[in-house]
Amino acid sequence: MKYLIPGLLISASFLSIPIWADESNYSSHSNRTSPTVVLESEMSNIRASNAQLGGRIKIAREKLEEVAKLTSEDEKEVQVDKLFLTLRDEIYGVLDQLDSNGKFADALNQAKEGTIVLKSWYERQPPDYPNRDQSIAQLDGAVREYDVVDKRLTESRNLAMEKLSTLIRQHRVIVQQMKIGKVLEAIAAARAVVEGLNDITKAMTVVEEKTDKSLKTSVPVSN
Amino acid sequence: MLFFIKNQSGAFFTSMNNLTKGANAFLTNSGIIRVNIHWKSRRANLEVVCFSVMANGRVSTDEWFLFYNQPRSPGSAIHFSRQPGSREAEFVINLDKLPADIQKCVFAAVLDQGSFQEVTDATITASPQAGDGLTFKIAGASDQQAMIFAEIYRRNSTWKMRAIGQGFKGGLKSLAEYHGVAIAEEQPTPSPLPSPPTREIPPIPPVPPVPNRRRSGFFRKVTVFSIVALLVVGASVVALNYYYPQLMFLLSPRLSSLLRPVAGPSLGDAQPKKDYVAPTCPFTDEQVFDRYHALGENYVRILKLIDSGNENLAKAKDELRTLEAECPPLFKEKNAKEIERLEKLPIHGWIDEATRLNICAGIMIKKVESELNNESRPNIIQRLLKNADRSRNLESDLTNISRDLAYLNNKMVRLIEGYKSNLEACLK
Repeated sequence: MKYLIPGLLISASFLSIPIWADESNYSSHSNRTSPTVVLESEMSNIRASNAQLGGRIKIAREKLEEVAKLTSEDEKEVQVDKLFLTLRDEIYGVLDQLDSNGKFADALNQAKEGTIVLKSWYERQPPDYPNRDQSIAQLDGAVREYDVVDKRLTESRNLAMEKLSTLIRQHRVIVQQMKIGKVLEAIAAARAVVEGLNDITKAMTVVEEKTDKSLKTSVPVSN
Repeated sequence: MLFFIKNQSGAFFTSMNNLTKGANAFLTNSGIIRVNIHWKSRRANLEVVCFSVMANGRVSTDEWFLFYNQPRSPGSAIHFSRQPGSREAEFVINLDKLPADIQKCVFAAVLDQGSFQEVTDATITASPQAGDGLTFKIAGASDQQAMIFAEIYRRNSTWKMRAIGQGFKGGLKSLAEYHGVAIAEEQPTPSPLPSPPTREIPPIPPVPPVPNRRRSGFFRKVTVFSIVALLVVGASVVALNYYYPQLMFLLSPRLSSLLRPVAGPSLGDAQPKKDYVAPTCPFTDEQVFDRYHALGENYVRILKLIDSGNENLAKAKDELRTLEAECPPLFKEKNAKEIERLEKLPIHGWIDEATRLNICAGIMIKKVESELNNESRPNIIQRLLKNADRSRNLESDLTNISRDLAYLNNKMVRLIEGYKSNLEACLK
C-alpha cells in the first residue's frame, strides 16, 4: 500500500509524457514580444541617448567658454580634464546603444530575420495563395528597409568610434598643452573635438529616421 | 590540423583546415574555388551533384543543378568534372561569375544502390586560389541513399564553407525537389476512377542520372554532331506539339501528353509563369512529431547557449574597457573559447530541419482539411478538428522556431565578431 501512491504518480507522469510532448510549445521559451515593438522601444532609447549627447555637447561648449575665462591655469586644466572624461563616458554610452550586439541591433536583426522567414513561407505557397505575390513584394521591401537601417547603424557606430578615438587622443594632447601654457591652442583644440561630436548626433538622427521609415513600411510579424 | 591534398590536375593545395560536422569557416572573398569530393569504397558508386540556390534554398532555373549530364552552369560559373570510373569529382567555381542572387552552392551525393553506411572515407575539400583550404571528412554515415556533404555560401561580402553531412531520405528525386528542381515521374497506369485534375504540371526536368546507361559505350561515344542533332529534333518535337497538338497526338499520344501542360498558356500569353512545384514531405506524421521534438529541444538549448554567449560578451567588453595594461591571458582564453563554442553550434542544420518540418505541417493541415470537407459523421469530425488544431499548432510553433533560429544564427555571427574584436583589441 505504501508504494501504491508513488507508483500511481510515477505511472501518471509516464502516461502524461506523450500528451505533453505533442502539445508542447517550444517557442514559448523565448521572449515572444513582437520584434517591431521591441525595435520601436529600442529606437526611443537611441533617440534619448542622442538627445542626451546633444545636450552634453551644448554644455561642453558653454563650459569651454567659461574655462577660457578662468584665471587659474590649474583650474583650467582640471575643468578640461573633467569635461573630456564626461564626454568620453557619454560616447561609451552611445556606443553601447549602437553596438553590433546591442539591444537595438538585436531588435533590428530579429525583425529582419523574422521578415525573411515569413517571405520564404509565402514563397513556398502555391501561386493562387491569397495575397501571395503582394505579400512577398511587401516583405521584400521591408527587408531592404531593414538593410538600410543596418547600414546606417554601422556607419554611426564607426563614426562614434572614430570620434571617441579622437577624443581620447586629443584629451592627452590638450592636457599636455595646458600644462606647458598653450592654453588658447588647447581650448581651440577642445572646441574642435566637441564640435566634431555633432556628427555623431547627425548620424544617429539618420538612424532614427530610417528606423521610423522601416517601421512604417514593415509588415507586422506576429508572435 | 594541416595536411596536403592532390587534386585532379596533380597540383598540391597548401594547408587545409578540418571542419567538424555543423561547423563553418571563412573560405575566401572572391576568385576561384575548387571543390573536390572523393571516397574510397569500391562497392559504392556516388553520383555527385551541386545545387546553386537562391536565398529561398531553391535553384532559379534547372540549369543551376549540376551533375554529370549537365556539367556546366550558365555563364560557365561552375564546371563539373569526373573521370569515368574514378572515385573523385571536382567542381571549379568562379565566384566572381556567380549571379548575385545565388546565395549558396550545396554539394551532395546520391547512391544508385546501397546506403551511405557502405561509403568509406568520403571527404569534401574546398580550396581557394589563395589561403588555406577547408576539408570535411564525412563521419557517422546514415542508412540513406542521398547525403548533403557541405555548402559554400555568401556571408556579407565573403564566402564561407559549412560542413553538413546530413543524410537525405528519398534519393535524388527528393533531394532535387527539395532544392527546387523538378524530376519527372513515371506515368501512373490509368485507375478506374479519374483522379482530380492537377493545377500545375512540373516543367520538363533534366534527365536524372541513370548510372548504367551512362557507363555504357553509347554515351561515351556521343559526338558534338549527335548532341546538335538531338537538340534540333527535340526543339522540333516541342514546336510541333505546341502548334499542332492534334498531329503530335496522332504520332505519339504518350509523348504528347508528357509535353502538353494541363492548363498551359494560350497562344496569346506572352510569358508563361514559372511552374510551381508543390512541396513534399518525406516523413510520416509520427516521424514529423518525433523530429519536431528533437528540433524543439535543440532549439531551446541553442537559445540558452546564445543567451549566455551574449551575457559573457557584455561582461568581456566591460572588462576590456577597464583593462589598463596588456590583456591577461585568461581574458584572451575566455574569448577564444567562446568563439570556439559558438562556431560549433549547428544552427544552420536546424534551420533547414525547421523549414522541412514546416512544409510537412502545412501538408498535414491540408490533408486534415480535405478529410474534414468530405466527412459528415460528427464523431469523426470532432476527431479531425482536434487533428487540425494539433497540426496548426505545430505549424505555428515551427514558424516561430524558424524565425528564432534564423535570428539566433544571425546573432551567433555577430557574437563571434564581437569576441574576435575583443581579441583584436588585445593584440593592439
